[in-house]
Amino acid sequence: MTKIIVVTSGKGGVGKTTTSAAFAMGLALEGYKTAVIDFDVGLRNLDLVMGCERRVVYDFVNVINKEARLNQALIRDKRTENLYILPASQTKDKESLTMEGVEGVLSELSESFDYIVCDSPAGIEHGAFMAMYFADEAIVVTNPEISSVRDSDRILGLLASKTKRVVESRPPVKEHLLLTRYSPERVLKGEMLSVKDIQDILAIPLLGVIPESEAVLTASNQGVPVIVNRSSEAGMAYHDCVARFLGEDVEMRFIDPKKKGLFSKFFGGN
Amino acid sequence: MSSPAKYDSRAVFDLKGAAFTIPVLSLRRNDLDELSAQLAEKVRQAPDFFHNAPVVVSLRELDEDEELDLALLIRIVRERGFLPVGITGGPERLKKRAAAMELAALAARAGGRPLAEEPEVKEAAAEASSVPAPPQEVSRIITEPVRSGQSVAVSQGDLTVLASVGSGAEIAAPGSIHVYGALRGRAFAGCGGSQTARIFCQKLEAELVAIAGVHLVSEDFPASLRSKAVQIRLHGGRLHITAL
Repeated sequence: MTKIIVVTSGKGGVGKTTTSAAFAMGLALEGYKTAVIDFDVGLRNLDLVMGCERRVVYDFVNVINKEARLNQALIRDKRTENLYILPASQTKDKESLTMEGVEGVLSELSESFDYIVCDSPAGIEHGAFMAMYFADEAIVVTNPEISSVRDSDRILGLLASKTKRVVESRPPVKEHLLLTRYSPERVLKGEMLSVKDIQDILAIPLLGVIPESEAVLTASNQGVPVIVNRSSEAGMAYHDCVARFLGEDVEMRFIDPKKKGLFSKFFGGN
Repeated sequence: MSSPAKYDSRAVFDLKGAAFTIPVLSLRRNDLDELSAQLAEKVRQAPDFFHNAPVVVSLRELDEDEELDLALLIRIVRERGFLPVGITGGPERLKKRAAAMELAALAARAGGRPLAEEPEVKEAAAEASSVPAPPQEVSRIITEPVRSGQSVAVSQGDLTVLASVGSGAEIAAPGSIHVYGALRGRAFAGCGGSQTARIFCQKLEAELVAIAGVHLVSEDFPASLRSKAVQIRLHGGRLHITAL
């Protein structure tokens, strides 16, 4: 049974595309046939983060408009045979995503894929609505700052009221909280909301915490999903999240400040 | 428009609108013999209650084409001690016959009161006085968090939320508001103007609270009561927040 996962947040710049890329790659590396779709029509980014921007011929909107077949538009990832990318169109606008068109593409993908990851655009307008409408599960990406938390709360409200599952009175979309750009040191200094604060506000299960990491920017610029970099903390954290998503019991990491070495203890480093 | 009679001392009457609760006898099928017997039995159970009780006869459940002897029906109802004042429902020809018998033909309730309530009234009339009509639901309870951007308003009674109300969410009720979680959004109690409505919450982090239109914004909350369990009430035209 194919699962449709939407990666969403409300707010922009919190790490939806990074998460979509990492998550899709993680699922594929675990052996699941996975497709990742860029719903950000007009501002396509996923192809860059996945490093396949030079191989884009047809896109999501071409398939919806029947200008290309789905398998012509799907780009196979070079690193794993289980991963396919459906890029967004950079020239069209979000209104090109029709309800019937999106449903058609998703149902065709459902015939052969295990997971479909939908990378939602920011905002709560049509593009974000289309990305979440057909979802079975949702990963709500949130930064530890109040504006991001409030936007995530708004998105959770929409997930609980505006999705196909609700319309058809099926069980609601399963929600997961993913905290990104987390810095335990800054939490300790009171400059950032803590995991507990955010969970208190949003009241949904925590899938994982991705620490602030330079590896994320490097990975994006190189077009390599950060999960591939297993020596980086962010890579390891995403790997844990995928394992948790697949039902494994993995302890939370990177939520406490690093223990100071003997040297800095003696010399009273801050 | 004011009634001229009000200011005219010679006037001997005022013409006003008023609503009365009158039982409705709703005929399920055209079987007048059985009606006569069952009605007699009903009256025997509570003769005083039904003596000269006004009643409206509803023909709504009958088939339009049913050949109903309206005169006989009304006579049966009268003989059992009721005072039929009109009919409701039924085809045009029966309404004309009712008019000839000096009975009013009452239209379905105007003003949008749902017809769905009618069975309740019918039930009450049929079950005699011993069984009161079930009380109306006056309080609404919400078990899920009220998220940012959501707005929950009830048209009557209290509103209870068993979770938190997010920043940017709104809840409103004509009665009191109870939040068994953090109140981070806006809460409007006493929406219909009730000054006695109150707001209760486990954790006061609201953006705005209001009772009967008198409001306080977050900035005006005493710092000592922030994030505390409090109640808020209206007294002397001002809102008072006290710890619980």
